[in-house]
Amino acid sequence: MDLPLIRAPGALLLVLCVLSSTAVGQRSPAGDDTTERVPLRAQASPTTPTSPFATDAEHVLQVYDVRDLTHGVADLLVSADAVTSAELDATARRLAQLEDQEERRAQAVVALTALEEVVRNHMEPPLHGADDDLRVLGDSVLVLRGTAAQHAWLAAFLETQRGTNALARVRTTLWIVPHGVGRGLLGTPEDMDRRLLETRTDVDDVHTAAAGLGLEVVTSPEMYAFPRQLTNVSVLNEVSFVIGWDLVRVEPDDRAVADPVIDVVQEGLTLDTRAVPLGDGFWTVDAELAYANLQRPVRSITTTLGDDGPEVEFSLPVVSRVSLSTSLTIASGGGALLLSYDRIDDRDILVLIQVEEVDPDALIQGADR
Amino acid sequence: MTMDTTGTTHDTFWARVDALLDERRDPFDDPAVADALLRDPALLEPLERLVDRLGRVEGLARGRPMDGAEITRSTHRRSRVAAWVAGAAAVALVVVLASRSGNVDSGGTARPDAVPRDTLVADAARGDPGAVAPATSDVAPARPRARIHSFSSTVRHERCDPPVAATPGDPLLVSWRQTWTSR
Repeated sequence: MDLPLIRAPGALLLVLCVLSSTAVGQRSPAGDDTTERVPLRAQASPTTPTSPFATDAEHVLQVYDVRDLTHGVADLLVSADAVTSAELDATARRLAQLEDQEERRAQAVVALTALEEVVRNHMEPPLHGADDDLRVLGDSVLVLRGTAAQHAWLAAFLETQRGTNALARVRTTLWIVPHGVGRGLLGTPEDMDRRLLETRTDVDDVHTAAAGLGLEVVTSPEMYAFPRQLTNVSVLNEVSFVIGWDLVRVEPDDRAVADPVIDVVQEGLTLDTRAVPLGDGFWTVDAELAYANLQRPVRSITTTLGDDGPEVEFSLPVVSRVSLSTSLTIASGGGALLLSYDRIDDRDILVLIQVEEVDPDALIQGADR
Repeated sequence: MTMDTTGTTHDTFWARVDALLDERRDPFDDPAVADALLRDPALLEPLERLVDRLGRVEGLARGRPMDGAEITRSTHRRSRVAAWVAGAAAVALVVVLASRSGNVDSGGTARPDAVPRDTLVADAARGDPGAVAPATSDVAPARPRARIHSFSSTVRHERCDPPVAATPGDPLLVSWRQTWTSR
């Protein structure tokens, strides 16, 4: 397997890493170390910039340059400017320079932090934090101190990120059904509130069963996202209502007038997702869904204000809110069915999340037709 | 000259940089600046950015870019300082990470029962299979498997209720605000 590409700054850092590590090692008391030592310079050879630094028998420290994953194309053009300016398109370079450097760096830091979070959450074997550790340096470097298996996973993971030319289609379907129906559709033991749907067939079976039961889909948003892209969709409806009244006296005859105070309720759905390819056709999806529903009809009461004030009417809205958060790893086409119980209204909330790898070219051709 | 770059004395650092720039001297040539950068590598980036931008302004003012020799010398100097600063950062990082390993304590001293670090490094550099293997050499990465890592959900109802103290029809009631309650 190819070692991670380390460009000049990363290589410099790693070489110095090796140099400084040997300096730390030399602090051991004289005479303790009877092993024949290899000249230290040999480890800092420019020809082996990616040699891992061993920290104990199991763990090694290695630096991964991920600038190409955390920086936008424009930023990479600027970085490449000093090296291969002749090959760069002048217009692209000019556009790149127009962008604000601070903003680009901030975006890169966000992207690196997101990448680090994904690695931390999904690495196999998992990071425990006691003997292994993952750090970020600046806006483009990951440093992993881990076992060989962890380094192998990270190298393969980064290779997948660089080599994936696909979009993720994340489709979410929401049902709100009478209590018990959701459990029947889930088809799992009573104490389980989730079911993995490993194949597209499993997902289709759920849709078929739901249609067979006559369940009405509340909403089913669908999003296409680039790998690691944080996506958001909101479908909201704003409903205004009177939350209060103030009795005010107006001139010239000191008449009492009711002045309404307006509030707004938002109902609808908000969905945040991030899909990350893991290789072998698998994707990991983090999703957060919030659904708010204004119950209708809206109750109201009527009263009067003051001793001679006008009669006023108040709305008494009730909003049910469902918040759901999940993280799953699934092969393309598969998904998960998740169940939540609304105790107050005694009903089940079912959410099906499906992720599918989509060829962007096919998507464009389909849109052109 | 030495500078303390901690706390509010960052001001001292930047004052020194300002003074050097006013004298048309390169801050990267100043030992005090280099010393401060070694102690606080985070200062390198803003300083480089500042000098870079000033260089551009200077180039514009003269109607031409900096000539090649200047660029080379400046870049060389900056690279030298950057190398030392990166080295300092690397030392810090390595000490922090390696201090948690089995064979080195926080002081960087080898424990008697541990394999000497130099041996492991050297063996790794030689590619000795009996020692520390390169991280990604022969180990196949774990294949992904389908699973639900986490799932949590909450359902709550928010309702707008009349104020508790209000009595409809109360002649003293001149203002009414409903409140949201959640359950």
